[in-house]
Amino acid sequence: MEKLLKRKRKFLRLVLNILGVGTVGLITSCCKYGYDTTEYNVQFKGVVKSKDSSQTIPNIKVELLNSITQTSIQTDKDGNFVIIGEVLIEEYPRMRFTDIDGNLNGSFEVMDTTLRQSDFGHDLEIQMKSNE
Amino acid sequence: MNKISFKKRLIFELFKKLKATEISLHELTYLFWESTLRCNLHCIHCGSDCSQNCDFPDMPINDFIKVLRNIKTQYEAKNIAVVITGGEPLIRKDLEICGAQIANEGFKWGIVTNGALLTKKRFSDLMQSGLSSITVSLDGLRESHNWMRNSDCYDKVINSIELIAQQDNLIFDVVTCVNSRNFKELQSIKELLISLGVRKWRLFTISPIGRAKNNAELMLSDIQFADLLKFISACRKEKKIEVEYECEGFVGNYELEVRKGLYFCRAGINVASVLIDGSISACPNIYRRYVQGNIYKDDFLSVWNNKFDIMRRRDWMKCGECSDCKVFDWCTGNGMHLRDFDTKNVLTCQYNKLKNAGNL
Ligand code: SF4
Ligand code: SF4
Repeated sequence: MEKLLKRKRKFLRLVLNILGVGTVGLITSCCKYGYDTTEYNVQFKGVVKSKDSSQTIPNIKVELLNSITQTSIQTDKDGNFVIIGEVLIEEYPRMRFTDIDGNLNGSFEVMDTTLRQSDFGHDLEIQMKSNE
Repeated sequence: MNKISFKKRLIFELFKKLKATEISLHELTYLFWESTLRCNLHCIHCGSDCSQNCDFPDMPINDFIKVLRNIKTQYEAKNIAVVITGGEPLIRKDLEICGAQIANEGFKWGIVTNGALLTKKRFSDLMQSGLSSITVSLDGLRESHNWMRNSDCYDKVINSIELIAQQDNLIFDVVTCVNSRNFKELQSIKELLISLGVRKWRLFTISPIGRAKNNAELMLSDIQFADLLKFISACRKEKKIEVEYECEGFVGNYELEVRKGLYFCRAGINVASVLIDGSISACPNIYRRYVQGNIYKDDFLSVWNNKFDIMRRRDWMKCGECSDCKVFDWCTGNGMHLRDFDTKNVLTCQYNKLKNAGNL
């Protein structure tokens, strides 16, 4: 199939070349001016654990602080979360983890973190310090 | 220009078949790498704030090399051109190292630059690292260029152009973004470039997006646009310098008069990009929300081979202004960079601009 397509392409190029048409797209750059959408979509998933006991923590509020579409979710019963948002291209996504259920499941300090390129595409493991 | 001639219609029909074949094959031949968002200038048309203090760090070369190695499992490196963009690529101190590594993998590589940071030493180092193509932006004579670039960089850019023009074995062109300020200077710019030894000059207009949209001085009227194409066509006949109109959109009977080839948006068909955050897309000027994957999450080749449907099947573009267009089959809805993500409508139609100007 691919061979056949390549033969067809060769033939069409030849005919068009005879008619004086250049057929190989040789661009050296694309017109670059007129940027607008400088935000990009991000999706992060991971698990929140206690730094001391390594136990997963449910009911932690997870926020993407610099998302244009403001998002916040809570970890599920196994401490898992998936958060989606839109972040400006000039910035790295900043996340905040807050314990919102008081002493239930232990009490934890608020934690802020800035994600890096290497965090994209990997499951995150967030470790929260206990308040005690 | 009059109605589309019979010969051209025939050519467009044949080209339509060629495009369909290219789409089915979708061979990667052109890869942009948005290596940095930092920039030394603050151009008035640029929607992104590419300040020198940009929070987003440059992409490490090793991350990009992994993509190239992945590509090599399916393609011959020598058939693919890598173009390093920004921001301003010359702001990266390790640009020569990046280039040399790309060349070591067997790929041709080039840069798109505003030319203001190029020195003799830098240029010679880049050549040593295997630079094979360079595009420099010149957006007018002194005053208009400095206005557009928001900086007093004209002399530096001219020096760079002069320096590069003397170099053999290098694909070199100058690009000019035509706006209503520099429009009257086109003839003088042409003469200047010829006197500097430049052989290729590419012209384009600004996309009506973001900040640019609200700046009337950046936009051409329909009549000016038609005159621009007449100017390009006349220069091509004159043959003193190879002038081309960029691949922005379908221009009816001006096709073949203003370019060597016919209009064909190759985004996602032959052109891909790796953007600063690892996003996989086509031309970097396309709306960011059309991204197809991310190198930090996906295998580049599997994204290239299996996604990009939105760019390869363009029937969805037959909406808004394009919905009852008689030349849709030849145009297929204009350049991907001119497609609004939310409304899906075309942002500007060159063909209709020419019609409005009474030129088609
Ligand atoms: S209306 Fe749409 S399809 Fe027709 S020429 Fe304009 S951009 Fe192309
Ligand atoms: S998206 Fe625009 S710049 Fe890129 S190939 Fe298509 S028409 Fe050209």
